[in-house]
Amino acid sequence: MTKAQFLFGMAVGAMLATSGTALYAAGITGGALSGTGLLVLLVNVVYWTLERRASASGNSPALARVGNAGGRSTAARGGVA
Amino acid sequence: MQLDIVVGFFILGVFAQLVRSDLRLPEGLYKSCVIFLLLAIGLKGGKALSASPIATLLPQSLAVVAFGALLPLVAFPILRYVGRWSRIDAAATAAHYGSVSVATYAVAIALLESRGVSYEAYFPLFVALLEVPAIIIGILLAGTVAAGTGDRGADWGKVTREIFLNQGVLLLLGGIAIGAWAGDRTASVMPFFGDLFHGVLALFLLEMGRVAAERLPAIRRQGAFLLSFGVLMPLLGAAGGGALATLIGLSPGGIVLLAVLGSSASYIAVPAAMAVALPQANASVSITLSLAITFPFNVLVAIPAYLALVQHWS
Repeated sequence: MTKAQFLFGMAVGAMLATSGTALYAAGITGGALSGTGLLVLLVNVVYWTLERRASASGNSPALARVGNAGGRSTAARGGVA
Repeated sequence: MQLDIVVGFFILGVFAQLVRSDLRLPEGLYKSCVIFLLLAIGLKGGKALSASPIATLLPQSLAVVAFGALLPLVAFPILRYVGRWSRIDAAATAAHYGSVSVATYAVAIALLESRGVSYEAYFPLFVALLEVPAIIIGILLAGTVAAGTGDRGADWGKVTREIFLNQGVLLLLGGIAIGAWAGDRTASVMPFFGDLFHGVLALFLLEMGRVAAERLPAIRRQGAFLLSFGVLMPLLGAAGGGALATLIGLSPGGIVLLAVLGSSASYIAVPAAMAVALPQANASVSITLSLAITFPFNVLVAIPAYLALVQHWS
Protein backbone atom coordinates (compact mmCIF):
# COMPACT_ATOMS: atom_id res chain seq x y z
CA MET A 1 0.00 0.00 0.00
CA THR A 2 1.52 3.29 -1.09
CA LYS A 3 1.21 6.56 0.78
CA ALA A 4 -0.94 7.92 -2.05
CA GLN A 5 -3.35 4.99 -1.69
CA PHE A 6 -3.51 5.51 2.07
CA LEU A 7 -4.21 9.22 1.72
CA PHE A 8 -6.78 8.51 -0.98
CA GLY A 9 -8.54 6.02 1.27
CA MET A 10 -8.50 8.40 4.23
CA ALA A 11 -9.90 11.21 2.07
CA VAL A 12 -12.69 8.97 0.75
CA GLY A 13 -13.52 7.72 4.25
CA ALA A 14 -13.49 11.20 5.76
CA MET A 15 -15.65 12.60 2.97
CA LEU A 16 -18.20 9.79 3.35
CA ALA A 17 -18.24 9.94 7.14
CA THR A 18 -18.64 13.72 7.18
CA SER A 19 -21.32 13.94 4.50
CA GLY A 20 -23.11 10.89 5.91
CA THR A 21 -23.16 12.40 9.38
CA ALA A 22 -24.41 15.73 8.04
CA LEU A 23 -27.23 14.02 6.12
CA TYR A 24 -28.10 11.91 9.14
CA ALA A 25 -28.16 14.95 11.41
CA ALA A 26 -30.47 16.70 8.94
CA GLY A 27 -32.79 13.70 9.07
CA ILE A 28 -32.43 12.99 5.35
CA THR A 29 -30.72 9.59 5.38
CA GLY A 30 -29.96 6.89 7.92
CA GLY A 31 -26.55 6.25 9.38
CA ALA A 32 -25.38 3.79 6.71
CA LEU A 33 -23.37 6.35 4.72
CA SER A 34 -21.41 7.59 7.72
CA GLY A 35 -20.97 3.98 8.85
CA THR A 36 -19.46 3.12 5.47
CA GLY A 37 -17.14 6.13 5.77
CA LEU A 38 -15.96 4.99 9.19
CA LEU A 39 -15.41 1.47 7.83
CA VAL A 40 -13.27 2.85 4.98
CA LEU A 41 -11.21 4.90 7.48
CA LEU A 42 -10.76 1.90 9.77
CA VAL A 43 -9.73 -0.49 7.00
CA ASN A 44 -7.19 1.99 5.63
CA VAL A 45 -5.68 2.61 9.06
CA VAL A 46 -5.45 -1.13 9.76
CA TYR A 47 -3.80 -1.89 6.41
CA TRP A 48 -1.38 1.01 6.77
CA THR A 49 -0.45 0.07 10.33
CA LEU A 50 0.06 -3.60 9.48
CA GLU A 51 2.24 -2.68 6.55
CA ARG A 52 4.39 -0.23 8.56
CA ARG A 53 4.81 -2.86 11.23
CA ALA A 54 5.83 -5.47 8.66
CA SER A 55 8.32 -3.05 7.07
CA ALA A 56 9.81 -2.18 10.46
CA SER A 57 10.38 -5.84 11.28
CA GLY A 58 12.18 -6.30 7.95
CA ASN A 59 9.59 -8.60 6.46
CA SER A 60 8.21 -8.01 3.01
CA PRO A 61 4.80 -9.60 3.13
CA ALA A 62 2.50 -9.82 0.18
CA LEU A 63 0.49 -7.01 1.73
CA ALA A 64 3.42 -4.64 1.33
CA ARG A 65 3.89 -5.42 -2.33
CA VAL A 66 0.26 -5.01 -3.30
CA GLY A 67 -0.60 -1.82 -5.14
CA ASN A 68 2.91 -1.27 -6.42
CA ALA A 69 2.50 -2.90 -9.78
CA GLY A 70 4.63 -0.17 -11.31
CA GLY A 71 3.09 -0.58 -14.71
CA ARG A 72 3.01 -4.35 -14.76
CA SER A 73 -0.25 -6.24 -14.96
CA THR A 74 -1.57 -7.46 -11.63
CA ALA A 75 -2.74 -10.50 -13.56
CA ALA A 76 0.84 -11.24 -14.52
CA ARG A 77 1.75 -11.23 -10.84
CA GLY A 78 -1.02 -13.61 -9.96
CA GLY A 79 -3.56 -10.86 -9.41
CA VAL A 80 -5.46 -10.45 -6.20
CA ALA A 81 -7.69 -13.45 -6.51
CA MET B 1 -34.93 5.15 5.70
CA GLN B 2 -36.15 1.58 5.22
CA LEU B 3 -34.52 -0.98 2.95
CA ASP B 4 -36.75 -2.67 0.40
CA ILE B 5 -37.84 -6.23 1.22
CA VAL B 6 -35.82 -7.73 -1.67
CA VAL B 7 -32.62 -6.46 -0.03
CA GLY B 8 -33.41 -8.77 2.87
CA PHE B 9 -32.85 -11.73 0.53
CA PHE B 10 -29.47 -10.32 -0.49
CA ILE B 11 -28.46 -10.08 3.18
CA LEU B 12 -29.68 -13.64 3.72
CA GLY B 13 -27.45 -14.81 0.86
CA VAL B 14 -24.45 -13.00 2.36
CA PHE B 15 -25.19 -14.52 5.76
CA ALA B 16 -25.55 -18.02 4.31
CA GLN B 17 -22.14 -17.77 2.67
CA LEU B 18 -20.44 -16.29 5.73
CA VAL B 19 -21.67 -19.14 7.96
CA ARG B 20 -20.69 -21.61 5.21
CA SER B 21 -24.22 -22.90 4.67
CA ASP B 22 -24.74 -25.20 1.68
CA LEU B 23 -27.42 -22.83 0.36
CA ARG B 24 -26.97 -22.40 -3.38
CA LEU B 25 -29.47 -21.61 -6.12
CA PRO B 26 -29.35 -24.27 -8.87
CA GLU B 27 -27.41 -22.95 -11.87
CA GLY B 28 -30.42 -23.37 -14.18
CA LEU B 29 -32.71 -21.48 -11.85
CA TYR B 30 -30.20 -18.65 -11.47
CA LYS B 31 -29.88 -18.33 -15.25
CA SER B 32 -33.67 -18.44 -15.59
CA CYS B 33 -33.96 -15.59 -13.08
CA VAL B 34 -31.47 -13.52 -15.13
CA ILE B 35 -33.41 -14.17 -18.35
CA PHE B 36 -36.70 -13.34 -16.65
CA LEU B 37 -35.43 -10.07 -15.17
CA LEU B 38 -33.86 -8.85 -18.41
CA LEU B 39 -36.99 -9.64 -20.44
CA ALA B 40 -39.32 -8.16 -17.83
CA ILE B 41 -37.34 -4.91 -17.70
CA GLY B 42 -37.07 -4.79 -21.49
CA LEU B 43 -40.76 -5.46 -22.14
CA LYS B 44 -41.90 -2.78 -19.73
CA GLY B 45 -39.46 -0.27 -21.18
CA GLY B 46 -40.37 -1.18 -24.76
CA LYS B 47 -44.07 -0.66 -24.11
CA ALA B 48 -43.34 2.81 -22.73
CA LEU B 49 -41.02 3.50 -25.63
CA SER B 50 -43.81 2.96 -28.15
CA ALA B 51 -45.72 5.82 -26.55
CA SER B 52 -42.77 8.22 -26.23
CA PRO B 53 -41.98 10.95 -28.79
CA ILE B 54 -38.60 10.48 -30.48
CA ALA B 55 -37.95 14.23 -30.26
CA THR B 56 -37.71 13.83 -26.48
CA LEU B 57 -35.87 10.53 -26.50
CA LEU B 58 -33.12 11.34 -28.98
CA PRO B 59 -31.39 14.20 -27.13
CA GLN B 60 -31.78 12.37 -23.83
CA SER B 61 -30.30 9.20 -25.33
CA LEU B 62 -27.32 11.10 -26.78
CA ALA B 63 -26.67 12.73 -23.41
CA VAL B 64 -26.82 9.35 -21.67
CA VAL B 65 -24.36 7.81 -24.17
CA ALA B 66 -21.94 10.72 -23.61
CA PHE B 67 -22.28 10.19 -19.87
CA GLY B 68 -21.43 6.49 -20.28
CA ALA B 69 -18.30 7.42 -22.23
CA LEU B 70 -17.21 9.92 -19.59
CA LEU B 71 -17.36 7.60 -16.56
CA PRO B 72 -14.39 5.37 -17.50
CA LEU B 73 -12.33 8.53 -18.02
CA VAL B 74 -13.00 9.40 -14.38
CA ALA B 75 -12.22 5.91 -13.05
CA PHE B 76 -9.11 5.29 -15.16
CA PRO B 77 -6.74 7.94 -13.68
CA ILE B 78 -7.68 6.95 -10.13
CA LEU B 79 -6.84 3.30 -10.76
CA ARG B 80 -3.78 4.08 -12.84
CA TYR B 81 -2.12 6.82 -10.79
CA VAL B 82 -3.43 6.29 -7.25
CA GLY B 83 -3.88 2.52 -7.41
CA ARG B 84 -0.67 2.18 -9.50
CA TRP B 85 -2.41 -0.46 -11.62
CA SER B 86 -1.14 -1.45 -15.05
CA ARG B 87 -2.74 0.48 -17.89
CA ILE B 88 -4.63 -2.57 -19.15
CA ASP B 89 -6.04 -3.53 -15.74
CA ALA B 90 -7.03 0.08 -15.07
CA ALA B 91 -8.70 0.40 -18.48
CA ALA B 92 -10.62 -2.87 -18.12
CA THR B 93 -11.86 -1.99 -14.63
CA ALA B 94 -12.73 1.56 -15.72
CA ALA B 95 -14.93 0.03 -18.43
CA HIS B 96 -16.80 -1.95 -15.76
CA TYR B 97 -17.53 1.28 -13.89
CA GLY B 98 -18.69 3.12 -17.02
CA SER B 99 -21.16 0.37 -17.83
CA VAL B 100 -24.21 -0.60 -15.77
CA SER B 101 -25.55 -3.41 -13.63
CA VAL B 102 -29.05 -4.51 -14.55
CA ALA B 103 -29.44 -6.14 -11.13
CA THR B 104 -28.71 -2.82 -9.38
CA TYR B 105 -31.22 -1.14 -11.69
CA ALA B 106 -33.79 -3.84 -10.86
CA VAL B 107 -33.31 -3.21 -7.13
CA ALA B 108 -33.78 0.53 -7.72
CA ILE B 109 -37.04 0.13 -9.66
CA ALA B 110 -38.30 -2.33 -7.04
CA LEU B 111 -37.66 0.33 -4.39
CA LEU B 112 -39.27 3.12 -6.43
CA GLU B 113 -42.35 1.01 -7.15
CA SER B 114 -42.74 -0.07 -3.54
CA ARG B 115 -42.61 3.60 -2.48
CA GLY B 116 -44.97 4.69 -5.24
CA VAL B 117 -42.39 6.96 -6.91
CA SER B 118 -43.03 7.35 -10.64
CA TYR B 119 -40.24 7.39 -13.22
CA GLU B 120 -39.80 7.49 -16.99
CA ALA B 121 -40.87 3.98 -17.98
CA TYR B 122 -38.61 3.99 -21.07
CA PHE B 123 -35.54 3.87 -18.81
CA PRO B 124 -34.53 0.35 -19.95
CA LEU B 125 -33.48 2.03 -23.21
CA PHE B 126 -30.88 3.99 -21.23
CA VAL B 127 -29.77 0.79 -19.49
CA ALA B 128 -29.08 -0.81 -22.88
CA LEU B 129 -27.42 2.33 -24.24
CA LEU B 130 -25.10 2.59 -21.24
CA GLU B 131 -23.72 -0.92 -21.80
CA VAL B 132 -21.80 0.05 -24.91
CA PRO B 133 -19.76 3.31 -24.74
CA ALA B 134 -17.74 2.35 -21.66
CA ILE B 135 -16.52 -0.84 -23.33
CA ILE B 136 -15.26 1.11 -26.34
CA ILE B 137 -13.59 3.76 -24.16
CA GLY B 138 -12.01 1.04 -22.00
CA ILE B 139 -10.50 -0.65 -25.05
CA LEU B 140 -9.24 2.69 -26.38
CA LEU B 141 -7.65 3.52 -23.01
CA ALA B 142 -5.84 0.18 -23.03
CA GLY B 143 -5.19 0.24 -26.78
CA THR B 144 -2.45 2.84 -26.68
CA VAL B 145 -0.28 0.37 -24.80
CA ALA B 146 -1.20 -2.55 -27.04
CA ALA B 147 -0.04 -0.54 -30.05
CA GLY B 148 3.21 0.44 -28.33
CA THR B 149 4.12 -3.14 -27.57
CA GLY B 150 3.52 -4.38 -31.08
CA ASP B 151 0.23 -6.00 -30.13
CA ARG B 152 -2.34 -5.80 -32.91
CA GLY B 153 -4.81 -4.44 -30.36
CA ALA B 154 -8.43 -5.43 -29.96
CA ASP B 155 -10.27 -7.46 -32.57
CA TRP B 156 -13.13 -5.02 -33.07
CA GLY B 157 -15.25 -7.52 -35.00
CA LYS B 158 -15.28 -9.96 -32.11
CA VAL B 159 -15.70 -7.18 -29.59
CA THR B 160 -18.67 -5.69 -31.44
CA ARG B 161 -20.27 -9.12 -31.60
CA GLU B 162 -19.69 -9.59 -27.87
CA ILE B 163 -21.10 -6.15 -27.05
CA PHE B 164 -24.33 -6.50 -28.99
CA LEU B 165 -24.96 -10.24 -28.98
CA ASN B 166 -24.11 -11.21 -25.42
CA GLN B 167 -27.05 -12.69 -23.54
CA GLY B 168 -27.66 -9.63 -21.38
CA VAL B 169 -27.79 -7.03 -24.13
CA LEU B 170 -29.63 -9.33 -26.54
CA LEU B 171 -32.40 -10.09 -24.04
CA LEU B 172 -32.71 -6.50 -22.92
CA LEU B 173 -32.81 -5.11 -26.46
CA GLY B 174 -35.07 -7.99 -27.55
CA GLY B 175 -37.48 -7.26 -24.71
CA ILE B 176 -37.49 -3.56 -25.59
CA ALA B 177 -38.11 -4.35 -29.27
CA ILE B 178 -40.98 -6.76 -28.51
CA GLY B 179 -42.48 -4.34 -25.99
CA ALA B 180 -42.27 -1.41 -28.44
CA TRP B 181 -43.78 -3.51 -31.23
CA ALA B 182 -46.56 -5.04 -29.14
CA GLY B 183 -47.51 -1.94 -27.14
CA ASP B 184 -50.66 -2.63 -25.11
CA ARG B 185 -50.66 -6.26 -26.27
CA THR B 186 -47.89 -6.90 -23.72
CA ALA B 187 -50.76 -7.06 -21.20
CA SER B 188 -51.25 -10.74 -22.05
CA VAL B 189 -47.75 -11.66 -20.76
CA MET B 190 -47.61 -9.15 -17.92
CA PRO B 191 -49.23 -11.43 -15.31
CA PHE B 192 -46.00 -13.42 -15.63
CA PHE B 193 -43.36 -10.75 -16.34
CA GLY B 194 -44.96 -8.02 -14.23
CA ASP B 195 -46.55 -9.60 -11.16
CA LEU B 196 -43.72 -12.03 -10.47
CA PHE B 197 -40.94 -9.44 -10.87
CA HIS B 198 -40.31 -8.77 -7.18
CA GLY B 199 -40.41 -12.47 -6.25
CA VAL B 200 -37.93 -13.47 -8.95
CA LEU B 201 -35.70 -10.51 -8.06
CA ALA B 202 -35.70 -11.74 -4.44
CA LEU B 203 -34.53 -15.20 -5.54
CA PHE B 204 -31.87 -13.66 -7.78
CA LEU B 205 -30.59 -11.44 -4.97
CA LEU B 206 -30.39 -14.41 -2.62
CA GLU B 207 -27.83 -15.96 -4.96
CA MET B 208 -26.11 -12.62 -5.60
CA GLY B 209 -25.59 -12.16 -1.88
CA ARG B 210 -23.99 -15.56 -1.66
CA VAL B 211 -21.74 -14.92 -4.68
CA ALA B 212 -20.70 -11.48 -3.41
CA ALA B 213 -19.75 -12.89 -0.01
CA GLU B 214 -17.92 -15.77 -1.68
CA ARG B 215 -15.67 -13.27 -3.46
CA LEU B 216 -14.80 -11.22 -0.36
CA PRO B 217 -11.66 -13.20 0.59
CA ALA B 218 -10.25 -12.50 -2.87
CA ILE B 219 -9.93 -8.79 -2.11
CA ARG B 220 -8.02 -9.23 1.14
CA ARG B 221 -4.66 -8.25 -0.30
CA GLN B 222 -5.66 -4.96 -1.91
CA GLY B 223 -8.63 -4.50 0.40
CA ALA B 224 -8.06 -0.92 1.53
CA PHE B 225 -7.67 0.60 -1.93
CA LEU B 226 -10.38 -1.57 -3.48
CA LEU B 227 -12.83 -0.64 -0.74
CA SER B 228 -12.00 3.07 -1.08
CA PHE B 229 -12.34 3.02 -4.87
CA GLY B 230 -15.37 0.71 -4.79
CA VAL B 231 -17.39 3.19 -2.72
CA LEU B 232 -16.02 6.44 -4.18
CA MET B 233 -16.66 5.63 -7.83
CA PRO B 234 -20.40 4.92 -7.36
CA LEU B 235 -20.79 8.25 -5.61
CA LEU B 236 -18.99 10.12 -8.41
CA GLY B 237 -21.10 8.30 -11.01
CA ALA B 238 -24.28 9.01 -9.09
CA ALA B 239 -23.42 12.70 -8.76
CA GLY B 240 -22.86 12.88 -12.53
CA GLY B 241 -26.00 10.88 -13.29
CA GLY B 242 -28.12 12.94 -10.92
CA ALA B 243 -26.80 16.21 -12.39
CA LEU B 244 -27.40 15.02 -15.97
CA ALA B 245 -30.92 13.79 -15.13
CA THR B 246 -31.76 17.19 -13.67
CA LEU B 247 -30.29 18.90 -16.72
CA ILE B 248 -32.35 16.88 -19.21
CA GLY B 249 -35.52 17.36 -17.17
CA LEU B 250 -36.23 13.90 -15.80
CA SER B 251 -38.72 13.28 -13.00
CA PRO B 252 -37.49 12.71 -9.40
CA GLY B 253 -37.77 8.95 -10.01
CA GLY B 254 -35.76 9.36 -13.20
CA ILE B 255 -33.09 11.32 -11.33
CA VAL B 256 -32.76 8.45 -8.86
CA LEU B 257 -32.53 5.90 -11.67
CA LEU B 258 -29.87 7.77 -13.67
CA ALA B 259 -27.91 8.24 -10.44
CA VAL B 260 -28.20 4.50 -9.84
CA LEU B 261 -27.05 3.71 -13.38
CA GLY B 262 -24.05 6.01 -12.94
CA SER B 263 -23.39 4.42 -9.59
CA SER B 264 -23.52 0.80 -10.74
CA ALA B 265 -20.75 -1.28 -12.25
CA SER B 266 -21.17 -4.11 -14.72
CA TYR B 267 -20.24 -7.66 -13.81
CA ILE B 268 -21.84 -9.59 -16.66
CA ALA B 269 -21.73 -7.78 -20.02
CA VAL B 270 -18.40 -5.96 -19.66
CA PRO B 271 -16.40 -8.94 -18.32
CA ALA B 272 -17.57 -10.92 -21.35
CA ALA B 273 -16.52 -8.15 -23.74
CA MET B 274 -13.21 -7.54 -21.94
CA ALA B 275 -12.37 -11.24 -22.05
CA VAL B 276 -12.41 -10.91 -25.83
CA ALA B 277 -10.93 -7.43 -26.18
CA LEU B 278 -8.34 -7.42 -23.37
CA PRO B 279 -7.65 -11.04 -22.47
CA GLN B 280 -4.45 -10.05 -20.67
CA ALA B 281 -6.39 -7.90 -18.13
CA ASN B 282 -7.00 -9.27 -14.65
CA ALA B 283 -10.71 -10.08 -14.98
CA SER B 284 -10.94 -11.41 -11.45
CA VAL B 285 -10.13 -8.12 -9.75
CA SER B 286 -12.62 -6.15 -11.87
CA ILE B 287 -15.50 -8.55 -11.26
CA THR B 288 -14.70 -8.88 -7.57
CA LEU B 289 -14.54 -5.12 -7.15
CA SER B 290 -17.89 -4.52 -8.82
CA LEU B 291 -19.62 -7.57 -7.34
CA ALA B 292 -18.24 -7.78 -3.81
CA ILE B 293 -17.90 -4.07 -3.00
CA THR B 294 -19.84 -1.77 -5.33
CA PHE B 295 -22.96 -3.93 -5.76
CA PRO B 296 -23.54 -4.44 -2.00
CA PHE B 297 -22.73 -0.78 -1.33
CA ASN B 298 -25.29 0.31 -3.91
CA VAL B 299 -27.99 -2.10 -2.74
CA LEU B 300 -27.57 -1.60 1.00
CA VAL B 301 -26.45 2.02 1.31
CA ALA B 302 -26.44 4.11 -1.84
CA ILE B 303 -29.82 3.49 -3.52
CA PRO B 304 -31.91 4.29 -0.40
CA ALA B 305 -29.69 7.34 0.16
CA TYR B 306 -30.17 8.62 -3.43
CA LEU B 307 -33.94 8.23 -3.08
CA ALA B 308 -33.97 10.01 0.27
CA LEU B 309 -31.86 12.85 -1.12
CA VAL B 310 -33.99 13.32 -4.24
CA GLN B 311 -37.23 13.16 -2.23
CA HIS B 312 -35.84 15.73 0.20
CA TRP B 313 -34.89 18.20 -2.52
CA SER B 314 -37.83 17.76 -4.89
